Amino acid sequence: MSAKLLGAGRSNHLTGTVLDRRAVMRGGVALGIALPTFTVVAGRVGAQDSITFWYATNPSETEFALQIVEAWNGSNDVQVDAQPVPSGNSTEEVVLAAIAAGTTPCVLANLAPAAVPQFGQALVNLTATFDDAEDFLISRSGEDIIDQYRSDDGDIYQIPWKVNPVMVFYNTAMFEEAGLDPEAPPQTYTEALDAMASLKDAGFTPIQPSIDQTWYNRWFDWYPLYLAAGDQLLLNDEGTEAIFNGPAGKSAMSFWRNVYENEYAPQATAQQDPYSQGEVAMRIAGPWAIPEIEQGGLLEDTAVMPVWVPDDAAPVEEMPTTFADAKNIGIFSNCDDKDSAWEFVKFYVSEEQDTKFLQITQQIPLRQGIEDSVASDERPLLQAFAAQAEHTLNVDQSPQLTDIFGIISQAYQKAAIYREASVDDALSEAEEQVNSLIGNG
Amino acid sequence: MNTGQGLKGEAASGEKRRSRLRLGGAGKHPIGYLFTLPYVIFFFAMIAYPLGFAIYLSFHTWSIVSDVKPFVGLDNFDRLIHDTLFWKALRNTLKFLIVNVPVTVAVSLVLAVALNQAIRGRTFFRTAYFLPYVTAGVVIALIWKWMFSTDGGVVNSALDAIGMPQIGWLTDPFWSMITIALMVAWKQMGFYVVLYLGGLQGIPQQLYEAAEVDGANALQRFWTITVPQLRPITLLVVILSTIIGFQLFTEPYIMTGGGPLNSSLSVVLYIYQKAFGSLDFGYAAAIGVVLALVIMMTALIQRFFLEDDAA
Repeated sequence: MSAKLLGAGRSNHLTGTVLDRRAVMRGGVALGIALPTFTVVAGRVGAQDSITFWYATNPSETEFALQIVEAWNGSNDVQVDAQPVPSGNSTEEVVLAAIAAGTTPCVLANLAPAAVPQFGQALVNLTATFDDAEDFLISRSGEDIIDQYRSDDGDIYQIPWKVNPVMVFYNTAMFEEAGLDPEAPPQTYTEALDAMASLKDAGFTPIQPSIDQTWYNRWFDWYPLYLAAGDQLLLNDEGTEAIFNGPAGKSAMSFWRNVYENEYAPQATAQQDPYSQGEVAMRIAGPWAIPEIEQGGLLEDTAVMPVWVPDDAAPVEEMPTTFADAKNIGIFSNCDDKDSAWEFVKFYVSEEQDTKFLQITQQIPLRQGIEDSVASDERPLLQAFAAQAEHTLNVDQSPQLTDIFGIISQAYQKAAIYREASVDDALSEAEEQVNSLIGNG
Repeated sequence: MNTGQGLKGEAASGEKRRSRLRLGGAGKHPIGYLFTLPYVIFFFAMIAYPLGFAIYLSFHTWSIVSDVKPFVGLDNFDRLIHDTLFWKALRNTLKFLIVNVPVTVAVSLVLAVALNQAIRGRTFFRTAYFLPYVTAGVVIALIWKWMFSTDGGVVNSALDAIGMPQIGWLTDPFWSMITIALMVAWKQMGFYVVLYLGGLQGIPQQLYEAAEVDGANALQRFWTITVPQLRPITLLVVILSTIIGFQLFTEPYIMTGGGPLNSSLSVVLYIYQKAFGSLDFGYAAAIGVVLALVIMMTALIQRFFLEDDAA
C-alpha cells in the first residue's frame, strides 16, 4: 500500500526508470540512516567549540578585527565567530538589550568604560576568574593605567585597550580661503568664534555637531570643552555630588550657545558626516574619524588642533585636557568557554597586534612602549593624537552615567541649541536632577 | 472494495473513538478544546505571563545584572507621580493622538468612499494605500526621516524651491510630534480604509436611491447616510487607532530619539529608555502598568460616547 502511494511499480515519466518496492525500501532505509546521522553531525558542527566576538563597525577597526580573527582561526581549534556590533543608537544600548535577552557575545571589543558599572555582573570579573589576568594587564598597560580601570571592589572587569583623544579636525584649504592661518589655529573661545565668523563670511559652514539629544552626543561638543576648561569630571571624587555647574561647565555651555546663536552651526543633524563630504570646515572627533575623512578625499587638506579653552586660560602653554573616549574589551558572563575567550583577548591585544592596530586604525593602544612605534610613524595626524593622548580624562565610574549625560544633553539643548533657558538655569536644573538621581541610585 | 457493512463498521468504530474523546461537561465536540490549545498556549506564554510578570516587576527594584531585587511596594508608582518626564511623555502621546486619530478617521473614510466608486485603476489605488501598512515600520520611519530632514530633505528642498521658509519638521520641538503623527496616520491608513470599505459594502443601496429620489446631492448623501451608517466602523477605527497610538515607539525611536527637548518622547519610548537604557525594569514596568490602565480607561470612555449611536 505504502509502495503504491510512493509510486513504486509505476513508470516514472520524468526519468523513464521504474522504481520497485525493493528500491523504495532501500531508499527508505538509507534515508533513515542518513537523516539522523546528518542531524547528529550537523548538531556537532553547530555545537562545535566557538566563541562569539563583536567589534566596532568603524571601517579600519573592521579591517583589523577580521585580520586578527582570521589569524586566530587559522591556528586554533576554538573558532571565533566575529561580527560587527548590531545596529542601534549606541553600542551600550545594543549590549544592554542583549544582556536582557541573554544574547551577549563572549567578547566585545568596543566597551565604553562608562558602561562597565551599568553592565555589572554581566561582565566577567577578570582578576577573580583568570590567574594570570592581573599580571598580564599590568605588564601590558602599566599599573597606573590599570588602576584607573579598577572597579569599586578593586577587581578588573575590562581589558583597557585604546584611547581616542577628542580633538578638532579642520579643513586647511577652507581656512586659507577664509583668510585664516592654518598653521596658527584658534586656541581660545574668542579666537574660535572669530574664526567661525570668518569662515561663515567666506561662505562656509564652520561646524556641525549633532543636535540629537542621545546622551553620548555631548562627548563631541560640550564635554571635551568642559574637561579642557576645568580638568575635572562631572561628579566629585566620591561620586556623591555633581560638580559640573561651575565656571568650567558654564563657560563651555556659553561658548556653544554663542555658536548656535550666531548660526555658526546649523540646527540640523546631518545624515552623513558633513566634514568628510567637504561641507563644513571643522569637526570634533577622535582618530577613528580619519578613515572616513580619507575616504572623502580630504586627508591632504586636514589638520587637527586641541579643543578650545576659555579666554582666561590664555596663553595656552601646554595642551589642554580633552575627552579620552577610551574603548576597552570585555568578556561576558554567559560565555560558555571563558578560558578560550580570555586566550583570544590576550592574542587580540598582544604586542604584535597592538602595533598592527596602530598602523591600521591610527588609534592609540594602551600599551607601555607604544611610543616607539608612534615615533617611527610619520603620519602627522597620528603624531598629534599621540601627543594629545597624554592629556586626557575619561568619565566618572557611575552606574547612572548614561542618565547623567542624558540630563546634561537636555540642558545643552535648552541652553545652547534652542536657547529656551539661560545657561545658569539649564545647568542648575541639570545639577539638581543629577544629584537627585545619584541620591536615588 | 468497500461494502456497506464495512462502512457501517467504520462508522461504528468512529463513534467509539469519538465517545472516548468525550469528557464530562465538555459538550458535544470536546475535540474543539484541543484545537484551541495552540492559542491558549500562545495566550499564556505571550500575554498572561508577561502581564503578570510586569505587575510583579512594578513592585520591585529589578535589574537584570544584579542579584538584589528588593520588594519596594508602591515606591515605583510614587516616583512616577513625581516624574516630570513621564508626564511630559504622556502629554506628548496625547498630542500625538489629537493629531493622529482625527486625521486617520477623516482621511480613511474619504479615501474608502472614493475607492468604493467605479473609478479607473481602483485596484491599483487600493493596493497603493495598503502597501505602507504592510511595510516594515523601521524602513518607513527611516525614509520619512530623510524626507523631512533639515539637511537636504526633499520636503524642505521643495519648500525652498517655491520660496517658502524651511521647517524643522523633526528638529523643531513644536513640529516633531505633529510630523510623526501625520506619518503614522499615513502608514496605518491602508488598514482602516479596508475596514471602511467593508462597512460600505453593508450599506443598503436603497437608502441612496431613496435619497436621490428626494433630491439629495452627493455631499448630503455622504453626511446623512454614509457617515451614520459607518458609525460602528468609526468606533472601531477610533478605538484601534487610539490603542495603537498609545503604543507609539518605532517612529520616535528611529526619527528623533524622543527629541528635540523630549518633544517627541512617547510613553513607550520612555519605558524602553528606562528598561534598556537604565536597566530600571521595575520602574519601567510600573509605567507600563499605568499605561495599560490609561489605555483601558480611554477605550471605555470612547465606547461610552460612541457606542449608543453605533449600535
